Amino acid sequence: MEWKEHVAWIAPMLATAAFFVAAYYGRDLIRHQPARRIAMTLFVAAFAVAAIAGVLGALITKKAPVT
Amino acid sequence: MSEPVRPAATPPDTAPAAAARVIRERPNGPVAAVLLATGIGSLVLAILVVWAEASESFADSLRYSDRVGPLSGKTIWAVVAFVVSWAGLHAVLRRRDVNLRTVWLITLALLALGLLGTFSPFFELFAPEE
Repeated sequence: MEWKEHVAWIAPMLATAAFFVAAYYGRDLIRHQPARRIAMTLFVAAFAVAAIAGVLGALITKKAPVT
Repeated sequence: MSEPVRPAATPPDTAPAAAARVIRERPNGPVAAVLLATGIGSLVLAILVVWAEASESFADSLRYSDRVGPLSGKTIWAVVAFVVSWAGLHAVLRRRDVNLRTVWLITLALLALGLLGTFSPFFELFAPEE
């Protein structure tokens, strides 16, 4: 299941984009509802993608331990 | 009998309070740039994964580290695509206001293609027949 190796690399890009949106608007982010929602979605998606990679990695290690 | 003193009327656009109410809006072009760059980086990763699956010689050319294998080249070039497209789009869009909803939909489409292209059952369809 190579998906865990590939998909994990999308997480840092999503998190970087979320960070940039938050850093760009700063405190004004609260007034920019579309940008705020996009930043939240990006960050949640980054965690979701990392979780997929982590869970798949754990399951594969359980099935075929590295010796 | 004296008249009551009335405060002098100030035009609304010269009052300090009105000036404080004027909020300087930042252009959303830089946000659009980073969103599109994220989608482009994901799509480039997917294209490299599918291409490396279809061509063994291409997969070997991405093997920058023997211990990591072709994954090293795929991820390095995906990150390069992300950074370069972000820099380029930022330079083009930094002073512009764009339709963020359209940009977001394009980004979601690119991310979906990226997830699909990196998904094993999909890219294994392109493996050469043994």
